[in-house]
Amino acid sequence: MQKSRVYPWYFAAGSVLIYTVLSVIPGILGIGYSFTDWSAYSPDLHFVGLRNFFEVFSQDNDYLRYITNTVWFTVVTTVAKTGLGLLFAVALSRSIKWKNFHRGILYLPSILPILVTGLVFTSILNPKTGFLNEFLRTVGLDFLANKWLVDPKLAFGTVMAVDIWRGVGYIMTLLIAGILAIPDIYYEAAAIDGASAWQRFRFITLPMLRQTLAVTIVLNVIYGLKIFDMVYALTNGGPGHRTEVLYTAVYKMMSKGLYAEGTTISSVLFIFMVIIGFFMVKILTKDEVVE
Amino acid sequence: MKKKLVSLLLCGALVCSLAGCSGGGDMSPAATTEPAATTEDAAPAADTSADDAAPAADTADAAADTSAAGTTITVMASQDWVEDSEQELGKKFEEETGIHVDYQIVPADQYQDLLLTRLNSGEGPDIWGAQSGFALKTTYNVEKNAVDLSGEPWMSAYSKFSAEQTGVDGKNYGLTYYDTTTDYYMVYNKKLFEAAGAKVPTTFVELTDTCDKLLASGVTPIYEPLADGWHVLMLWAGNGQIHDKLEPGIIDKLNKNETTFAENENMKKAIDQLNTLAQNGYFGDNYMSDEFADAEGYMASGEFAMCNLKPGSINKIVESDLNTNGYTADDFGLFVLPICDNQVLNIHPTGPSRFIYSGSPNIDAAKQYLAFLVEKDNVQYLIDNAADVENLPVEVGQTPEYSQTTLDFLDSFDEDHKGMVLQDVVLYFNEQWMDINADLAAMFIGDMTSEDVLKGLDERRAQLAQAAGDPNWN
Repeated sequence: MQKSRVYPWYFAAGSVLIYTVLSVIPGILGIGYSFTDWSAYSPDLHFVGLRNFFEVFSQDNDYLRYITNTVWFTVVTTVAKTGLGLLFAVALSRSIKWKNFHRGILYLPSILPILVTGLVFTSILNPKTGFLNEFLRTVGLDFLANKWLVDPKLAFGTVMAVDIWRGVGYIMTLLIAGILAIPDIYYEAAAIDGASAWQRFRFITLPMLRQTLAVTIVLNVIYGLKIFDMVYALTNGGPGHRTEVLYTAVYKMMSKGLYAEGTTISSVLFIFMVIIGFFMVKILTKDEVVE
Repeated sequence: MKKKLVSLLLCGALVCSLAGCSGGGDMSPAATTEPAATTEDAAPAADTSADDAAPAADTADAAADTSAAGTTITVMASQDWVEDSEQELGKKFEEETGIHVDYQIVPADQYQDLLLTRLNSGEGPDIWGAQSGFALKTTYNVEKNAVDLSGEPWMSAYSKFSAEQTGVDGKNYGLTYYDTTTDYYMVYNKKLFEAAGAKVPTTFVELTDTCDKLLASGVTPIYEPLADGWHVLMLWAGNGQIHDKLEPGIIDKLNKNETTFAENENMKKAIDQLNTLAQNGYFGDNYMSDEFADAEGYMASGEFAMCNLKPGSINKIVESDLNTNGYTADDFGLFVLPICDNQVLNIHPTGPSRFIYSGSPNIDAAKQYLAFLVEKDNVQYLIDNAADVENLPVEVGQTPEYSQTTLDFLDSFDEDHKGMVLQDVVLYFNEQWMDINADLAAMFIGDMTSEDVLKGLDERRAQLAQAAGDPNWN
């Protein structure tokens, strides 16, 4: 069915103009600068071809590890936030006692500024004086007390865990809204047909939530690829460079005045995000009805 | 009706808040245009007479100017660069001038990135702190980002040695307000050494032997705080003066790009020795999350036997609440860390310094603050009240508070056994201070080797030199 042209094109002109000026042009300029030697040290700008890109993908540099870390962070936090968010959303859509209180508690972490969350957790997770290890020692679980943010094996997992804790409530809220929008009539019909709770979830809730899930997954993926502040506040990329991600590397490059190198990493991520975003939206909305 | 009322109230609140924001913004520039003439008037009054009291009197005049009353100036500095006593002086300054000083203290591991981001984006604080030395021109671009302070009244009282380090091409841009008259040395607990049967080491082999004995006695040998991301490199660079003694001319070759760190066996040896200290457990179990701010407390507790600190820190250790063992200043001594068997005293005239941001709307108020800090009474106040400050690099007739331990230690080195630390003599080194520290941490956890650390250092030097258009790298 062909889309009906209800509104003339110039209705969108204003927003397209603003979007172009504030997003598209700076984005293209950024990609352009990544082919230069732009820096704070010299007012001159020279074309250097793909030199910056070769450096980013060189085996001698750590950037490949930062890319891997960023992707790994995105995958783990997206799966965990979506899975847990869905679980909590289903549980808290039912008529349970103090439903709104539970929802509020779960949502609360997501309204805290990320830097504040990071600083608080840095203190809580201090291996020697932190609340978590002190608590574990007090209840006789000394063997569980760990160097959460400085043990190279645990640091990145800890950062992801804190981020999941912070973000799951927000995803849950979106999914609750999606679940509440599903008409009760489907559940009533399924109950009359003798469908079990699992079958109702599998064949009614999940398919009807598809659009909401698509939105939450895209939001999580974009957030994950752009992750900076949580890592910055908790570990600043350490121990060593174990938890370094692309945007902490960009930040460090830019602050050193090596703008071209920073812009190059940023451009690589931009292209990567466009590709990922395009395919994700395609896959997740493939059954969408076109009006 | 109710909805309308709520909407009206919300709109009113919004308008008020916006008006509040704009009002504040208008205030500061207007308030600061006035004092320009008065402070400038005070500047020429500074003569270079030998009289110590003269600069103090001049600066006192400058600071007493109250025409900028109501202005707030921001002082941004890394953790540990602003003493509590200075913040007290800030209150006194406000009482005298009406200028409020807002200290923005940033965690050390984040400071440099944050400052440079603000400077590079044109959003610098009124006064910013930075280590003096080579990096001022390259990393901080002081000629663009800082105000020329060469004509300030306190210049005649300012140490010429420090002025060289805060200056570029004959102009002075900063004020070093930090005790650079001494450097970081190993502060050790004599009682713990004695109990363990350990002696003050003069070679690296003796150092490991000392550490082993301390470990055997149940004491962690070295407090090494890595969490701040700046301290551990001091163990090498702060003892790096040995390299020029081992290979005369090496520094010159490094600066001319005729050799690299990675191809130098002694540099590799020094890094490997640092790694040995970490791998042998001499830093304890928690060094990755230990913080510099806790150093004196842990030394006072007797849990650790030594730490790389300023000699003035001994006073802080003794005064710490954690000093339940009744340690006195005589229970602590000083030695140079024998990395590569170093026995050369480290000289380090550079240190955290103050610069006035060239884009600040409050330049004159900021100048008043610096002039105030250099007044004799205020310099003395800091020396008397900041336990780890024994002197400051200004001469306004103050009385330094060097302990006998410090004096004896410094006197034990002749001129042939003194040398400048690496970061003060090697180009493009200090600029990547935090990166090298992160690489050392990566080495300690097994992610990098000493070769990787030195190779990374060389690559970043080349990157910075090329960006700066250094002919030796282009």
